[in-house]
Amino acid sequence: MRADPFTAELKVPAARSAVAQSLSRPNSEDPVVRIPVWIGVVLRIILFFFTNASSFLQLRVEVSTPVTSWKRLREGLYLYQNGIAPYEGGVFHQAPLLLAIFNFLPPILIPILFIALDYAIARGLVEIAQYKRKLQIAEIWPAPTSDDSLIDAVPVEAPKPEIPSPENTPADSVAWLRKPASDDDVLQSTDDIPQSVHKRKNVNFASQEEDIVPPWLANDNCRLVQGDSAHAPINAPQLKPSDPTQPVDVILHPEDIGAMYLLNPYSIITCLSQSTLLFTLIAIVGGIQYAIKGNRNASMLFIAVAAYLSFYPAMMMAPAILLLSTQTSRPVMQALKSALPLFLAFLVALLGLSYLLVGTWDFLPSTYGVILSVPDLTPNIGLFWYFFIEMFEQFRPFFLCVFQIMVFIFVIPIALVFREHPLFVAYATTAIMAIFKSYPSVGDTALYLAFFTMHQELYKYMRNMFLVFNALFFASILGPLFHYLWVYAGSGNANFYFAITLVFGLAQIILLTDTGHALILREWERLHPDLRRKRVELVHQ
Amino acid sequence: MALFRRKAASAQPSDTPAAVKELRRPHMRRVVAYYVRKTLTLFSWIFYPVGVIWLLLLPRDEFHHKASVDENALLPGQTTKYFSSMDMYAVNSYRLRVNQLASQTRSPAEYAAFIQSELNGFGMEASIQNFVLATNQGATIGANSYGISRAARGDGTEAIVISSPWMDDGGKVNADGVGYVLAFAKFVTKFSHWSKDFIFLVTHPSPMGTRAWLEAYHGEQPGPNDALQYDPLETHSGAIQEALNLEFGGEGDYAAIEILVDGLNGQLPNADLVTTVVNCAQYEGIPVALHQAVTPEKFDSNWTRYLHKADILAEYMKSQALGLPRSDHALYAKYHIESITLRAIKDIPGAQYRVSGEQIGRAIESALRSFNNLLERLHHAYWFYIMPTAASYIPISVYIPPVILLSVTLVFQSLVMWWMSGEPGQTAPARSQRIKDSPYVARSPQLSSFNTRTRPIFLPIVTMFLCHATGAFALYMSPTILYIAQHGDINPLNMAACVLIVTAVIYGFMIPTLQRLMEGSGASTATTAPAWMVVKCIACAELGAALIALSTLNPSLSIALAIPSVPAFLLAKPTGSHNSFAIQLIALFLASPIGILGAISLLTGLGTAQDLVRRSADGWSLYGAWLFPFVLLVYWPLNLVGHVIVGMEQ
Amino acid sequence: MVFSQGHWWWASLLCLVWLGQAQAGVAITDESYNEDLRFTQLPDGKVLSEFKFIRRIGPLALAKVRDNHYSLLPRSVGEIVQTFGVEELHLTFTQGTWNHQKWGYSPLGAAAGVQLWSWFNTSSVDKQWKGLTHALAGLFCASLNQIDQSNTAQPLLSFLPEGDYGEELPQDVLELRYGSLPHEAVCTENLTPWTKLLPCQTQAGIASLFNAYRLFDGHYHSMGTHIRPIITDDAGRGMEFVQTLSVVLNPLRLDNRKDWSLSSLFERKIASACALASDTKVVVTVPSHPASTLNSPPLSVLTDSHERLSAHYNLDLSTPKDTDFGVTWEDSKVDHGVNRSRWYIDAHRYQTGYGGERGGLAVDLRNHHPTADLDIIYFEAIPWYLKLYLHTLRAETAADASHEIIKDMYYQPAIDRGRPAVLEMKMTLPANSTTTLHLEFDKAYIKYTEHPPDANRGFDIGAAVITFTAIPESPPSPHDIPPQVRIHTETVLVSLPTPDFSMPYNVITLTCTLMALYFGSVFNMLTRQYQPVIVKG
Repeated sequence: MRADPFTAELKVPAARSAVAQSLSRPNSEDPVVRIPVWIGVVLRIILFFFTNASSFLQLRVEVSTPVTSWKRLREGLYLYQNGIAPYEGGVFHQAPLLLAIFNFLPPILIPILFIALDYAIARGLVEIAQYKRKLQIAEIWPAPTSDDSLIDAVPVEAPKPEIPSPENTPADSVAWLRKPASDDDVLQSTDDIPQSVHKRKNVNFASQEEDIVPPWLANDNCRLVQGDSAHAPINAPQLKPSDPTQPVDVILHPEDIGAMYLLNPYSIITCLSQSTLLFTLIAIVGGIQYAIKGNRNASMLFIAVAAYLSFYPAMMMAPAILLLSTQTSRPVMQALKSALPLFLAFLVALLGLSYLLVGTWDFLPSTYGVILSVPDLTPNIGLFWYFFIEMFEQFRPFFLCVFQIMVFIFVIPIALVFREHPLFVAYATTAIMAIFKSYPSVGDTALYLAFFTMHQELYKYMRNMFLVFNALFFASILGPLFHYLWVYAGSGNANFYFAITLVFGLAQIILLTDTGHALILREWERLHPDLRRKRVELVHQ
Repeated sequence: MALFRRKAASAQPSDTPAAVKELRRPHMRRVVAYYVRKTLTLFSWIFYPVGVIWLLLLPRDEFHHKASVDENALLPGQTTKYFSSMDMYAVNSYRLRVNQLASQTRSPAEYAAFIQSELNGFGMEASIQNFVLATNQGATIGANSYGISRAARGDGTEAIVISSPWMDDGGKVNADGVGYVLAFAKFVTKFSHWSKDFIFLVTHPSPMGTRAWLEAYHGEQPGPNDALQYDPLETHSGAIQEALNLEFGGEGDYAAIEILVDGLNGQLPNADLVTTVVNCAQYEGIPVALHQAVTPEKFDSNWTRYLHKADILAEYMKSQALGLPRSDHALYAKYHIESITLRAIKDIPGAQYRVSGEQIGRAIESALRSFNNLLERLHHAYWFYIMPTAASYIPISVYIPPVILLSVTLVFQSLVMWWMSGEPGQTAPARSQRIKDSPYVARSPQLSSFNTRTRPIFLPIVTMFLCHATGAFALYMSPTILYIAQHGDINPLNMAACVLIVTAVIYGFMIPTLQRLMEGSGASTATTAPAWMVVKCIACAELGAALIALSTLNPSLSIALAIPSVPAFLLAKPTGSHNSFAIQLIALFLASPIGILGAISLLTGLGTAQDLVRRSADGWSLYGAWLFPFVLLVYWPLNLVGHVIVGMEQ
Repeated sequence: MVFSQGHWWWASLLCLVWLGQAQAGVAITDESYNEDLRFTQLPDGKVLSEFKFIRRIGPLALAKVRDNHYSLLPRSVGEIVQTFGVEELHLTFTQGTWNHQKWGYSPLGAAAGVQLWSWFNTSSVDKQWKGLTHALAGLFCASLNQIDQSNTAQPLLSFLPEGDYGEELPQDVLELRYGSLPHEAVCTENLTPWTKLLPCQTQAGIASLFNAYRLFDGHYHSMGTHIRPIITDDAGRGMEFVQTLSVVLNPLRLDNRKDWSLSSLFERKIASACALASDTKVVVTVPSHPASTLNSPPLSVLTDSHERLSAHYNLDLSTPKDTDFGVTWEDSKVDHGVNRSRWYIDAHRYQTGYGGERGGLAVDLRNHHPTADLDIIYFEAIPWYLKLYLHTLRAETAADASHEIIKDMYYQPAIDRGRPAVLEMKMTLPANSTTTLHLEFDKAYIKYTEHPPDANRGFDIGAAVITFTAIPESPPSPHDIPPQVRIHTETVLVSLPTPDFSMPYNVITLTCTLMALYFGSVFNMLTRQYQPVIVKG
């Protein structure tokens, strides 16, 4: 079952790189597509300097956890500056180097810094999305073998419920029929591309052609109708909107991913709350970004910083190493062997620096110790706090171990199963972190949602989109409300808010697994052209 | 199930049954899913009438529970009372002096000075808090006076507030209420069995005075450019546990005591507080009224009983839905202080005898004794209930289902829209056929994962954003509008009306046109769903979520908004025919805030509606009542979205 | 300064008496026992009764004590002192709050609840402190054993040793522990073991007035046990063991009159003097007012600088039984006003903010002295479940603060479930002004097992202690001033957000279900393989 895909994929990398270079050049210089990103930035500036949203959000449990709260950082900074050991007490649990950063920063620059961080994260995501776009364009859908031993199961005259009006369909067909003559660099560049990739030309034109129209129109698929020459629409009098044997993919717009992140309410409130989580996020994004560039040292440095700041991102090693191995086209084990020592070295260096800063190792139990053993049970959107408030004392260590293992247990398997899709591995790991870390906040959710929006081609394979996003929406509304009823009005009790955190977690888990299934199904259909074309029934085991 | 089976069989073309044996389960799954979906698409509106009927049943006695005290420490009415005619004499003399003082001077400072000197005389730490309220009508100067009587035995960590406004909102001097406060201040010092401090508070003008006092008591300081400026308090007691507010605007001749429970934003006190007060009063033989109506023991017919309770319920829901402070007790809820107002009623139909002053005094005393017994905050009973009579309640388990049913209709509607925009017009899934001379089985065409249409995102986002932006702008402009209305003596209602109608028209017709210009029309193409479906999907989801969320805070408001808006949203869709277009517009208009106001003014006259607008605006700016911003930020924008949907292209 | 001239007067006089006793004592045996009782009618008509039972154990007797020969010193106390190496011990059980505004300053004033502080002369102080609290808990039937590490503090400045240690500076050799239980309810079961320590118990002497019904019916009630080293004239370290009880009763509550007598206050009379007491004094102090008449003729009557009349009585075995002291008034006028002139520093602490998530403490520190800026030491021990934010600490004053108000600060951050946050500040209060301290905290969400049975009542935060030294001009005889004057603020009740206590199982099962769902579905996702359906035949 899994044997043939690899045979089919063997010559892909070369093809990918070739096509990729030639294809996604024009996209990056288009002023229009940057508008949403700048809207996001301007929105942050307005909210920071013209409203008191920041001071309000700094105190919200959804965004500021004990290990990222800005207020606690200020307390730690105050203690540090007044010569009191900041890690002696039970308030400050953040990494020492943060103290070093904010020790010298003039207060006026602090909002600027956080906005800049968010913008940098967005840019990093955009770069990652450009890579994803290349992959998407260079993706190979092997052509069906042309034996007609199996007659088509789809009756051609089985009409779709609404037949497109005749005036726009020919336009489309003509539109893409006209094109092949007009472009040549692709023709040159596609010399080394296997026969089955030729149909990709259309995609190329489509992508360029839809690059000059404003980005939102990219959602209108009639502009990028693709079909391979085997199914030329001329001899099919009533053209279906898309070739039934091949999905219509929206070519990804990298800038949109940045916009998706910057306009995401979760990331907006995270930025406004000045949560130090942003440092972790940018380190994660940077790690992936440099891994894509094939820059091993930088990516390891970034991931080491992320792990140093909030421990869990250590598991981002998995996608980073996969990316390094694909980009530098070396086997995974070799990449691992060369990267792991670097990572450890950077980590040790960072810890050493912090030791020099605070002059004691107290910060180890007070940061990583707190993350692991969860002594501070302040509510957040995660699953730990109420569980360990209600946990019986003698079982506490056991369940702590179980929960912490749960976070890491699937990283290696996911990396192995999806090793062909490192970005999906990145998405899965960030999602798992956001759901199961001991002090999660909506900032983590914002990050992996950005990765999720990169996999737009999976949407139409997913079953529970409506459920998931409604659940997230309801949880986002009812969470603060029930927290208010419990903590302020006193009319509701803790179970209200706990129930909402459960819903939030459940929705995210469903989203994760749903995406995974979608990817697997899509891979099957991509790699089995004949059976896909016949649309045979599938079972899974 | 059997029906599905038959339908499925009929849908199956003649083919070898062997081909489908392995696929029976997945096929049945598809068939069931298909019919569930079809049923929801056709009949999701059914929840709405069910909810309405359920609501209409609520006044029936079967749904009412007899109020009982859950907190065992309260023991209402079980204590021996000491409030005697001596204390009643004090009440009367104080009433005379208060009336005299009120007739002599108008300055709050002198009132406060009088109260303070009296409280000092009882050996309390009494002081005065001055405050100024600057509105666009001008500045109002006020003064609160309060005294703290330290409990002989307690460590001063808990306190009970006994307050009364100097004037009731009718502008009449609350002489008897102040008299009772002072008499009780004198009364409590005589006993050593109090374990909580008492704070005696007289506010003027109120409820603004109460807000100033509460904020100062909890250590808040007014910002430099706040409308309300106040002094900090000189002395504090411990955490305030309960508050009792007395409004007796008479000469001691009363027919009944009315209880006012619902506070700001319709937040309710703990049921035990209400039950305790009611029990203590009834134990003294005082008839207790709710919304000015005393429920008699027996009715001549079930129908009259139903009408009576339906009437009270309607009143109750009305005042809760508005969520504006009706008296001083309303403002305590914010600080997690259980509070209630006792208001005396002069005469009610069918009152046999008058209530004597000692009765009232003893009732208050025994209520205070019950609160004094408490070791913890009130937490046993619940905070969610609806009261059909003073002595019974409808628990949340009974009244929440209809509220949810009403709003969940919208959620299902949005689900339906999602489906329709995804794969339109499905037919019953055919059985999968085996492909000739191959071992494979072919899926039926509808089940392909390739032919889902994509949903346009940009247009819906722009629409939602513009509508909500309008709401925010209206909220931002509202003080100015009201100011203009008051000074250019324009009728604010008309003004609001034309503003809202104009915007509604703009949004109903200009935005779609704009969209057509910028978007080439949000009409459906071969591969995209029509934009209006997505817009409606998002709008329904948001409104449904908002109403459901609201039902936990203020069920009455949720009901009041769901009843008109749900049908309007069920109907709303682009249409060719003029009749349905007109019907939709009318429905949407009736559901819009201005439509609701219009309905009110038709029923009760223009004055009420105007008053409503002004009071809700003031309630927002002065007390932080959520009604005004909620309507302007969530409800009205979504109504505009409804208009947009009607105007959009198919 | 901060308290009434009259008290000063009597403090000095008493001290002379003590010295006399000491000399006499050495001649005969170096143990002595005095009883001292004073009634003070406060301006608002309430009567403050202060009982003092003073035992002075000289070095010889102490030596005997070490070989378990006890005469005056109760064995239980002696053993505790020896076992745990206690050098100095101060334990007070208090109910109600002392009203500084109306009643001025009381040398016996203490924080509400139980307050215990002790200087140790031993190694492994923490172990000894634990043992001490448990032993005292057993001795006084109080829950003192709940004073554990998590609410034990070590103040630096506020609780200096009060005994005389000769030349050596005790702070260098001794170690201090301070703990308090603000919510400890004081009642008869604490009084009875306390009276058991008296030589004549309640059979004779002024202790025969102890009528629990009336004692605990007062507005303020505080009983103390103090042990401190003293140096008698022959070189050698003696020990002073003082039991004090002060209670404020209100004669007006019964019939609206200010008149009072022993029988009206306590429903008892003094049966006879305690035979063991070498000296039994009774002092009655009333505002000197023509309308007042003393019930029984005193030995001597003096008037102090505050126009207060004080009548002296001496009790001995020859005193006729059931002598009744008291005052009768012609009118029943009382003065509820706040009399600022009698003392200078006043502190008032309250909670700010609302909601279960965070809050703050505000302390109004008033200096009523017209001209002088006064130095005070502010001490606060806040339990760990209030997470203090020191960077929010600010001091506001109306007066133009030419100088820094907070001179010096000592802060020890709290450790979760380990130790309280200790904040100690040297401050200078500008003359005739009010200084307000603001401090913010987050309320911790604690495990459901850490909540007390009455979780919805909240947690009591013990009183802050303001310590200052008397400014020179006010007391006539400075050498008797207690070195430090302490006033205590109110207890503050902080309600923490409570979990639901009824359903730990539901929470555990639901969360674990979610975990299992995650594991199962992801596992399924990772192992899933798609295959076309193959139809046989």
